[in-house]
Formats: sequence, C-alpha cells, structure tokens
Amino acid sequence: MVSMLLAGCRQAPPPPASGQTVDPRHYASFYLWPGVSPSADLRPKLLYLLDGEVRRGGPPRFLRLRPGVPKLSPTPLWLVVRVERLDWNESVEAALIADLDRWRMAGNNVVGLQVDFDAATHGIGRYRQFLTNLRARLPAQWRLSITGLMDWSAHGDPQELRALRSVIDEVVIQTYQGRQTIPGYEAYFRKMRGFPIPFRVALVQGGAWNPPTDLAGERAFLGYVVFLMRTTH
Amino acid sequence: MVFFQKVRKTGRLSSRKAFHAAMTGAALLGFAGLAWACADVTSYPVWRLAAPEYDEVGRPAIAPGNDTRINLLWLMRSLHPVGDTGAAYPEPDWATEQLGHSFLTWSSMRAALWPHPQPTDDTSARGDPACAAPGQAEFAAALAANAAVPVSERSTLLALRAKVGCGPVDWAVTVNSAQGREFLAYLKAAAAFHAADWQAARDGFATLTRARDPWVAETSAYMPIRIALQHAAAGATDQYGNFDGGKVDVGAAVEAGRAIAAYLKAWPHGRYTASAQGLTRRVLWLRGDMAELAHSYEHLAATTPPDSEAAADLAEEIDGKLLAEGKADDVIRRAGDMPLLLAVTDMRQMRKARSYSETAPSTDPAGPAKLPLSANELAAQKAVFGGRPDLFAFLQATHAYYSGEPSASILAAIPADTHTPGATPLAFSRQVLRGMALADSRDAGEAGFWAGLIAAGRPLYQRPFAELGLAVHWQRQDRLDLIFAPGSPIEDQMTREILLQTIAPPSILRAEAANTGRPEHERDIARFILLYKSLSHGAYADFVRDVALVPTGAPPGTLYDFAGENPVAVGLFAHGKWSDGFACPPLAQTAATLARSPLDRPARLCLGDFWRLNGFDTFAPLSTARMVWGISVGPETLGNAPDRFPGAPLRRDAIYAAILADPQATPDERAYALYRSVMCYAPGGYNECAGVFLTADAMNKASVAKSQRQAWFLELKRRYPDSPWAKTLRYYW
Repeated sequence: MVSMLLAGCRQAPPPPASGQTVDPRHYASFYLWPGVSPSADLRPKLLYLLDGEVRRGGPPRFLRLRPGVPKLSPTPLWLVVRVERLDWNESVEAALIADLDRWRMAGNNVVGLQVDFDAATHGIGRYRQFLTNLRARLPAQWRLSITGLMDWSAHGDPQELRALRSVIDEVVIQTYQGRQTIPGYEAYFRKMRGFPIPFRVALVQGGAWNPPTDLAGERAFLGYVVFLMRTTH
Repeated sequence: MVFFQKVRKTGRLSSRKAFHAAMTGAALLGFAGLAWACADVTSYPVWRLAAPEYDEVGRPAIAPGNDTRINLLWLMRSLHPVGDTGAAYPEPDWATEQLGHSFLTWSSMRAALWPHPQPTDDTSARGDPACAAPGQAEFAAALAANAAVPVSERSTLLALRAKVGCGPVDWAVTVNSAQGREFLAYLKAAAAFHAADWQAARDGFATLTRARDPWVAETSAYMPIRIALQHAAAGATDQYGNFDGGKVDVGAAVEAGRAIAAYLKAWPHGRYTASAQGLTRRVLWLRGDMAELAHSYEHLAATTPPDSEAAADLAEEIDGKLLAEGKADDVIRRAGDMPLLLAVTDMRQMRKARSYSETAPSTDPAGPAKLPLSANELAAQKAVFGGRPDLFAFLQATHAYYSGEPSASILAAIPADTHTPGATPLAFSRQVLRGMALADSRDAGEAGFWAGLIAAGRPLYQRPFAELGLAVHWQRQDRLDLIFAPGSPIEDQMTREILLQTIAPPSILRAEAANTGRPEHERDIARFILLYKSLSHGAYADFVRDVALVPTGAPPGTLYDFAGENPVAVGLFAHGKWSDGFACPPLAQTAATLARSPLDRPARLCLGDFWRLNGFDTFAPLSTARMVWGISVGPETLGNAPDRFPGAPLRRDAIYAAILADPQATPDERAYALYRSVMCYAPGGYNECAGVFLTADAMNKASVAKSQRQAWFLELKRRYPDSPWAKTLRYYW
C-alpha cells in the first residue's frame, strides 16, 4: 500500500562515479531547511521541507521556522518537524496538523509528516510509544515518516523494528553528520540487507558517496534524498 | 564522550558514535553505528588548536573556523571585558558530548554563559490549552488595574482575550461600561491583526489612541508599527515559503518606520519604547538597507553589555539578518567604520574552502592556503582598527598563520603575555596564536609558554584549550610521561581520555588505572584499554596480572558506545561471555594458557570466541589513523602519533588462518576453524573478523575470494561431516 502510494516518488538516480561527491544535479529529492532553496538547475520531484522545531527548554511548543506556506504543487511534499523532546502537548500536535492542512489548502501535494528526532537519550521503546500515539492522533490522510540511523538492522531490536513497521510509513536513513558523509557507510548498508521498512537514503550535498553495491536491489529502498546545505555561520 | 554519562542512562541506544572517529581519526565502525539521527546539528571538531575551516563549532580562541556568532560574542566580551561570574559548563548532551571543555557550539556557549534550568522531560504533561496567544498577562494586568471596568465584564473580556489569535471568536457578549468597551474594541482590532486584516486593524487601533484607559491608549499607538511590519512581510515569501526580500511591501515598511517615529515621539519613555527602537532594525532589514542595518548593529555590538543575554541575542540577530547575506562583507568593508563587524567578517574571509573526497583526501587543511582575504586587503583596513591595535595585530597574525607564513612575523606581532590572569577572549586568542607559532617553529620555550597560559587562563574553556596546546606539544616530543605525571597541568578529562585510548603505553595505562586522584570514568578507560590491548597485542601475561584491576562487581556493560558508556565496559573482561558451543574456560584461564604457550590452539580459538561473543569484532579504540572525515590531519592533532603500546593487534580471521595452516591441528580444531572462517562472512559476504573499515576499498581488500570461502565450506562438509559445525552450517557467503 505504502510503496504503491509512493511509487510515483521513486527514482533511480544515476550512480555517481566512484569517489565522487554528492552533486545535487544527479538527484531529484531534497531536504530543504528554511532559507534554502534548490538552485535553478535542479528539478525536484520530491521534497522534505522543514517547517519548524519542538525544542528543549520551556513548555513544549511548535516553533515555526518557515516564514511562509510553500506553493509547490504538484511536487510531493513532506512536512518535516525537528524534535528535541517527546513530551508534546495538544498544542504542538494541533499546530502541526494545522500546518499540514494549510499546506494542502495552498494547493500542495502534501504526503505527510516526518519526525526528525534523535532518540539517543530516550530509547527506542519510548520513541515507538511516542510514534504510536502520534499516529493515532494524526488524521489518517497523512503518512508518517521518521529519520533514522544506519544501523538498525545491526543493533536494533527486530521486535522493535516490526512494531515500528506498523506505525510508520517510511524511514529516511541519514548518512552524514554535520557537513560530511560518515565514513564506513558501505559496511552499514551491507548490514541493512532485508531492512523491513520502506526507506530512503539521505545524502549530504558535497559529501562523499559511492553507492553500496546491493542497495539498489533492496526491496524496501525507495531512493535518495539530498540534504541541500544552508549557509555557514 | 567522557562526561555525558551524567545525562545518558541507557547504553544500547547511545547517540552519536562517530565523534570518536572525528576526534583523532577513524575506526568508526568500532563504535557500532549511529543511533537515530537527525539532520544537521551535530559537529565534530578535529582535536587541535588550529581552526582553518568552518566546522559548525567554536573554540575559546577567536579563529577563522569558529561559528561567527561565537567569534562576535568573544570580541564583544573583549572590548568591554567581563568576568565569567555565574557561568558554568552546561550538562553535555548528544550534540555536545564529543566537545569536552575545549570546544563549544553556539548553543552550548549560550548555555554556559547564561545557564537556565533544564525543563523536565515528562510525557504525562498533556492537556495544555490548545492555544496560548502571547500578551495575555499584560492584558489581564491592565484590566485589573482599571477600576472602571466591572468585575463581571473583566471575566468576559479575559475569556475573549484567550481566544483572540487562536481562531474564531464569538463577539456576542455583553460589555456596557465605557472603558470595558474600549477593551472590547481593542480585542476586535487585535483579532483583525491576527487575521491579517490590516486595514480593519489599523482603523480599530486608530480609534483607541485616545482611549481613557492608559494601557489601551498606548498599546493602540504602538500597534500600527506591528501591523505595518506584518503587512510588509506577509507576502514576502517564495514558492518554498522562504523569505523573499524582493516581495516586501515597501510602502508598508516605510509606514512602519513612520509609525515607530510617531510612537517614540508620543511615548519617549513608554512601555514599548525599547521594542519600537528595536523594530527600527526590522524596518531596515525589510527595506534591504544593509548599510544602515550594519551601522545599527555595529553600534549595538559596541554598546550592549556583553555579560547580558541580550548580547547573545544580538549576535544571533546580526548573524541571521546581516552576515548571512552575501553582500554583507562588502557593505561592512566599504563603510570603513565598523571594526567589530569587520573583524568577524575578516575572520570568515580567512577560512579555507573545503573539498570533500573519501578516496582522495585533501591536503592537510591546517597547511598553507591562499585565503579569500588577501594580506594587502587586510593591511588596507588598518585605519578602521585605529582604536584597537591589539585586534588589528591579531587579525594580521591570524592571516599570516593560516597563509603559512613563517612564524617569526607572528611572534614579532604578538609578544608573550601569559602572566595576566583572567585574560579577555581576545588576549587569550592572541596568546594561543603565539603558542601555535611557537609550535610551528619548534621553539624551545613552547612548553613553558603553554604552562604559563594554562596557569593564567580562565578556568572556563580557556584553561582546557591551553592544556590541549601543551598536550599536543608533549605528544610530539614523545613525552606522554609528563602529561600523566603526578601534578601534571594537563587536567582536562577528555584530553587525557583521548590519549589513553590512542597512544598510551602500558605503564601509563596501569598508573592511570590506579590513580585515585582521577575520575572513575577516566580510570575505567585506562583499565579497559590496558586489558584490551594486552589481549589483542599478545601481552597475555600482563593481562593475567592486570585483570585484577577490574573493580569488584563491575557489570559486563556494552561496547556499543565505548567511552560514551557509563560505566565503561571494563567488566567484560571479568564477566563476559566465554563460550557458545566450542568449550572454553573463563577468559582469565584462556589468557593464562596463552601466557605459557601463545600458540596453544584451543586457547587461541577461545580468545577468538571471546572477541566474537562480546562485540569486539566491530570494536576498535580510537586509532592514530591520519584521516578524519576524508581529510588528513597532521601531528598537531591530539592522539595522532605512534601508539606506544607495543605490538600489533591480532584479528580473529588470523587466528583461524593460523589453525588451518597448522598441520598438528586436531580434526575438531580444524573443523571449528573452518566453520568460523566461513561464518566470518555471514551474512553480508564481507569479512567481519578483520576489524573495522573506513572505505569500501579496505573492506574489499580484507575479504578472501568467494572461491576460498566455498573451499572452506566444502572441506568442512566433506572432511568432517560428523562434526557439529558441519551439521550446523548450511551456507557459505
């Protein structure tokens, strides 16, 4: 069901030559943080747009970072929320659902909500509970995506994975920290054989990337998303 | 990596493993993988003093690679020197745990200088009001202060106020008092404002500027500013929802400027005076008047008390609204009278551009480079810095250093001054640069210089950073003994733990394990590395003796995040898993056997099982590899020196190869070695018994041909069909 729905977004990027860095022109799906727009030579076919954050500090609230509502019809669009805490209240959920609606009302082809969270200090079990609750409250029309790590299949508990599978529609596995690709990613992806959840692989613009041999053949692999870099501070 | 045991309770899902690799290079897979990642917020500095390129963090010394906000705030705190009273290292979290006390992020800098209590992380806190529009308290206070509004009307108005800005409001209420109706009219105008009905909002507030209630009257005089600003920016977004300055309603922005002037004239000391003055900058920004905006920022940066949190807010605003614009550097340079802003943009112009490649590392980025800012361009700025020759000399010396000029010019420009305690960030930055030049010129006085700077540096960040300078110096001199000697000035826990993991010899590891003056985590690192390297490097007799260093009751723990775990998994050596089929005694007994006869076949197979069963296949301590994130790093990087632990690590696949090459191996030993050799490639088809890899190339080189894997499989099946290992094995990979 999910993969059928997303099949339109699926892409087969031409593999960059060995040792090359990630050139966004070779890809069609992008992460866009507020303030970043694709250059004119890019032809986005799928976009992940950060709308805002739920930060630590003070009562939980949704902090909108994108000044305006995108108008990107017909490009399929995920609304991304960066999350530093899981103690959401109804106002956070209401604000996100309202933004999903606003984006759709503006004519966008909104696929759903992506939660970008580092579960490190919280534990996967608790994150699953959070996602289960969120899924239950999110209107059924919206898909739910999360960002993820490279080593679920190596270190994650398969029971947890199966449980997540029923809660989320896809995971985008990120291969970078800061502005660089994490060395050793080829080995990670070899360990991801048979990954049970539809997944994309996020690359960082300018980072190193040699496509792991078997990745393209993975049944659940939906393609790449390139994180376009913002300016420096 | 060291300190975040305070914040993380669970080991299995630890956060960012990769920082280990980043600190000194390399064995990323040794720390297993990443946990749940988020997009772009974690940064990994190379552990050295120089900062030639932007790496999303900062240092206690002003440097080109630093986050510009950090450089700006350090400068502000130098031009008007302030102390560190009330400041403290923030609790490390997943974004900062790899930074120790030598590096900082913008947010950790803010948290250190202006500590705020952490919120509780309580999932039960649901059920807050769905909408909490700001300004309710002020409205309620004004209402309460007005005795002319009847109590019953107050509650009606407060209930309405809670809904304004949150959605539809039912205005069918009864408010009859004259001043109560003023408040009601105020709410209707506010609702129009929130609904982006600018004209209705303007008209509504305009009728209230002469209201009898003083709060309503003054707020209504202020609101035209907010209305015009919202109006000006409302349509100024592009198809991605990003701000688009070309679409600003300039007329509305001009109107906002007039509204500010009108309000300030009428209320020169009003409750919104500061806000209105601040919004002047927003008008400038909306109008794209960068020269005026820069001028305003320069003035504020020079006058805002740098110990107030407003200084941090200002640095953030300057970075976001001015310095993020491509033409900001030109505007600031042309103005010729903005030393603070010019200094931070100069620093940024001295960054070396980065090239990414995993297979072809760029040259050492600390090495010489042609910088975007030329020495002549910088020299021409002298007059701008007329009042701050110390700052200008620092800029020139920084340029000289990162351009690779001889140290002599730097040393001449920046005299030694390590005897003034509590140096400003600028004074400290100058001395750090001098120390770096002393290091480059192999000056005989370098160690004494750092010792002086360590003693004089401020405890917060400065001292650990100066310690890094001395530690790298002694590392280069091969004098780790001085770093770990009793009374050594190198006190920073992260710096010491990095050296323990990378290059420390057994004698130092042993002494640190016993050093009751150091934190338990650091001692555990020493114990673990000592025992781990004793086993992997074949010092079995030492292991047998030193395993007594494992604290009584130490739990086995996990290697998942190694140095990030608390406690460190030193208990593995006393209470790990020994056997899951092939009969093996406890590890101490295996080691004792190997101490007597290092080639003992069952004992070697059991050592292999210990590695395998306890996660050592994908573990490696910090290595001394010269590559970090695809760039090579030099000997000025902490931990990047020859490992003084004698010998070389033994890999598990080598154990099996040795058994297979030994004609005296028993059938059972040979069958198990064949089985394990095949299993090294399960299930991914690459060698999981050969340590960790940074590149696909290295990974491929460590694998034998598939025909060899097939040969092992077939020999096991054909020669030892009755062995349990042959019966278990169904595939090869």
